[in-house]
Amino acid sequence: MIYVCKNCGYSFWVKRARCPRCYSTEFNTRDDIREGELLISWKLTATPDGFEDNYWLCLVKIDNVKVFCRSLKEPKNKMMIKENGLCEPLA
Amino acid sequence: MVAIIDANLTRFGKRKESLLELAGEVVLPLIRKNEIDFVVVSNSYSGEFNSLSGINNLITTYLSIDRVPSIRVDNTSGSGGSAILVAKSLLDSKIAKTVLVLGVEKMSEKNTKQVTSVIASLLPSEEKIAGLTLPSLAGLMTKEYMRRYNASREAFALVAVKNHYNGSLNPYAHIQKVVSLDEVLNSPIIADPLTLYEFTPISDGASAIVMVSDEDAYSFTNKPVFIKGIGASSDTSYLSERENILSINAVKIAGLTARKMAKVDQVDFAELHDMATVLEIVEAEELGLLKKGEGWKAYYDNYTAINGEIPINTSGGLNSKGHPIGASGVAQAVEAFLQIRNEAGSRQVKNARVGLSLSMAGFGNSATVVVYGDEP
Repeated sequence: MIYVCKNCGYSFWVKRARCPRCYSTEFNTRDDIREGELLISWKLTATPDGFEDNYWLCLVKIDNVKVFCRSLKEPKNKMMIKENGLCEPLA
Repeated sequence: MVAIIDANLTRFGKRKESLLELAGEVVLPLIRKNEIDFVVVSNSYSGEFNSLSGINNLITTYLSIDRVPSIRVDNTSGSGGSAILVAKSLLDSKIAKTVLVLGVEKMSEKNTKQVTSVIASLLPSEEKIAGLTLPSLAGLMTKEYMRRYNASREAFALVAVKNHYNGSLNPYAHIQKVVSLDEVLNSPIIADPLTLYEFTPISDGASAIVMVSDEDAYSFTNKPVFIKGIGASSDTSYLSERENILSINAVKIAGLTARKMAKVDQVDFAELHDMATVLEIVEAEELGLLKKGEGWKAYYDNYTAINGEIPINTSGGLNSKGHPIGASGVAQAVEAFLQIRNEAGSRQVKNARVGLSLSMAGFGNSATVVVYGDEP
């Protein structure tokens, strides 16, 4: 989900109480943008409790917002954001 | 201004003693000699690791200094630096005259996955659910550093070679063995491309210093170590929002603030927060100890070795000495205390008169830099 400030239009991914740019507290949310460009990926083999034993971490840019996600398949240039922090390469 | 007049460490590592017993081991020699009127405990995860809360009072009672006021400072991996800042404030404001700063953490009761998960709890839920961890960010930083500055992979491993050598000279270090470049590069990959020896181990341990105002310092010892400057700064906790993963602004600003207060341009040694090898290089660049984008080259010619131009992590750093979270920042002050008093044994830096430590929370979420010296 992406938050868009109703006052200044600034977009961000991780929830905040106030817009970091104009300090407005009113936001729209967008859940329709799921495809993004892979900025960088790297493999993690020491993972936290409750996660798969290894995966690729990806930093993906969707609509000018950077999002972290993990992919169980080798990432490609275009990625699709899924639920629960997962993403997968677009065919 | 304030000064450190006494210091102590336990051996870091997988210890059988409880958190309270580790605290007792490090503090008892200090409170036998010094009358303490305030205790600041640096600890981050006693609840998560040991099911203990209110540990500052538990510790003072365990030590039979029940009526000495105490507080616990939790700023994750940066707790130690924050605790020193709080202690300085207590002294400057005349609320206290002799402050004990105790860093302690008991981590080894949990397995690696559990510890990784607990430490990742400092991330926002959106990043945590994606599987991000603190070590994983070091992998990202390394890849980006190599790409942007055309740095060699070996340079990061050389940080671990140097710090393990230093740790082999430190009787308090968790890992007291020398490792070769090949051993580092061929150890299991943890966060691509970084390997096991390039990360800190999971350690138990405690460290402590006694701080007083500088005008009182010589009544306690003829070799006080003065805190000449201290700076604290913060940055966003949301790593996805960092403009540049190779910039740690909190470190840069804390360093500038501390050096300005200390009126110091050059330091003789530095203890940095090398949770992963890449961090030592990037932090040294942010603090002006190494050139931006060229710091990695310094590891090919012993520039940062104990006998080099700017010795870094003479203690072995977090990488080899270990990283009992709450104890680490205070342990850096202990190393500075030993170096400036010329008591660091085989790790002694020649003519060490001014030193610097960096205690960092999260992945640069906040930082405290302290400048130490042999005069106010």
